[in-house]
Amino acid sequence: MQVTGQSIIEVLFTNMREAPDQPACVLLSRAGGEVLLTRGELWHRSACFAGHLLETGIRPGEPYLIALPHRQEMLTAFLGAMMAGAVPAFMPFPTAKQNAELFWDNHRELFGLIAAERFLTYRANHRLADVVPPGSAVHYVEDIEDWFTGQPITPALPEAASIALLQHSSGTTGLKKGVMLSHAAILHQARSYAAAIGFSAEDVIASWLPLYHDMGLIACFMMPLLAGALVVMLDPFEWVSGPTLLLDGIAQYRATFSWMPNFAFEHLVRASPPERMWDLSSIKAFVNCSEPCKPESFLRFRERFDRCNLAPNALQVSYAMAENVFAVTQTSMQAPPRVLTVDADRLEADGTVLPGATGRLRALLSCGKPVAGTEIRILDSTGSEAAAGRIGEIAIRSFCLFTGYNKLPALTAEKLIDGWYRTGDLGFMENGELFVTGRQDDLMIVYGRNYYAHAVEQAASECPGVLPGRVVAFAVENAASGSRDAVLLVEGDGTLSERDIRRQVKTYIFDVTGLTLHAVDVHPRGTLVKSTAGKISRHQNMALYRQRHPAL
Amino acid sequence: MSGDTLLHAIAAIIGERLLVDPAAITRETTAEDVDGWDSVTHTLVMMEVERRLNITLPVDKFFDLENVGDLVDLAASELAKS
Repeated sequence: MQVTGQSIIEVLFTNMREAPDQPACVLLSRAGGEVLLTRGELWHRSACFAGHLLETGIRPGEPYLIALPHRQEMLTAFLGAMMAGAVPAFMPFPTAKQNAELFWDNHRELFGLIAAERFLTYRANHRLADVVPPGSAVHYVEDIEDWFTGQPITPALPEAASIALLQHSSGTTGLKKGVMLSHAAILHQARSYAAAIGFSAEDVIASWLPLYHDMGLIACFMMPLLAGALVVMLDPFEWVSGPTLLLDGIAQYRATFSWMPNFAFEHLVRASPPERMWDLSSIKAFVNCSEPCKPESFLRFRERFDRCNLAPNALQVSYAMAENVFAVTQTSMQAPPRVLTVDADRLEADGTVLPGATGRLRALLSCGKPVAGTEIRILDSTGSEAAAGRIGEIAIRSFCLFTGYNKLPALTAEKLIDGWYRTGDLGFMENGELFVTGRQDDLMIVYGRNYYAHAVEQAASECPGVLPGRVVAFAVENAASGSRDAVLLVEGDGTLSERDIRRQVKTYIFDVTGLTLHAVDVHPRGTLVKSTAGKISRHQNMALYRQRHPAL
Repeated sequence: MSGDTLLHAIAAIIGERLLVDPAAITRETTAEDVDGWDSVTHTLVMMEVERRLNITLPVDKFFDLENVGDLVDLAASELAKS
């Protein structure tokens, strides 16, 4: 893949000049709508937008926050903001079922922290305007359609080390960490990841992923754009209720790559009527990423879609994170990913990795080898190299590493030590390949999205009927969904019925975080187990919950 | 199909998909009352309702339903059309 240039803007300009009529993006909608943007149109509309944004007085390096649903303006406004020298960031936005007032109220602190002054959203999302810092401007896309036409600017070329964008996928509630990514880091990632998977301008990506998620933003928007490949995008909300739309898109456009979290493999299997067929022969890889990848999910996917001409090596795995722009590792495209069967008891007891043949076993899917320019170390609890055959914290160093967390220097210093990023993920290396086994902290990954248990507990403590602080959240495996279920145990204060507490807590957590709790169990006052230190014990209460639900 | 029969049929689907007792499902039951009822499992419930009743539910109404009673009424109106 030729990605020539020092900045994203320079590469996009080169690509546009080379083949302005080449299709760059197609946005599909369930109603059959299709919007196609060529490289030339994408550039022109973005450069026009940049000119209007500059007229508002936006300053170099100023964040420009974009909360837009599936429409072409989300792409051109993002690139246009970058052309104007601002730092664009896609933000999640509330669904129609969420309480928009509560959702945005939780972002007040973040907007203040990062000193955001300009926002782009849509009319129905007007609640955003209630929480922006005083004096900020909220642009409504319906009111500024003319910003995307007219006279394009010739953007200045950014320095390679300057910040290109912010990525906000990490964090449960409003105070999301803004991962700062430079032009150089993104270009390094685009080159090294493309080399790892053999990606070129001839490839076609099909994606339903939201652009505020690193997998959607980098693998399914920035990388194809930089490589000059075509990306076919679906609305994430439409995809959930119509998962086979992705297969329709793949078959129609002869897509070659699609990235998805593990649950999506299971959702496609369960939602595909057995009699329906799609031609999936064009697919080089469905890449499983963003939540623990399960061998059994791959087996079920293959069993269902082998008859749709799925290639033998078409199911692959990547380990990725926003802090490395995206991919850290990738499995070989020349073979199916390795599966390692280990002794589950030893792994869980003391982190020893032993091949297992009898007893309780755990099958682990390889995440592959580091992509070029990325190094991995496995660290023990002292920060030293872990002994061979033991799990430890995964630390990475690369040319793609983030610059830091926006306006959070203490957190940056805690996670970025001597050029190594401490991921908080646990795993081990075997024969040069990475295997991920879990998390060091209380991060819960549900349907590919990250939520911190302590933040969910804090939010639940604010609900009527719940004894503040007498709550505990954790995630348990769900074999059927291929993901994990978030469970919350609370002690009631006696003022509301169990049913009312359950409804209130589930609704509130959904409104402020977008997380649907699998279950809320209400317990009498004083009955959640405490640790010897007097704190509610997540570990012991989870063990008791699992005893009460042996099917888990 | 009577309202009660339709409720029983839909409660059975919910019971199978979400591993709960169908007898506990009433018209007033909401997603918050049932463990594991989220946007993904909701889609699977809706698709199974379509398959068993041989109807097509309007996708734009999938997430507008407030409770099981709304789903029963929606299915009834689609059955009446067919």
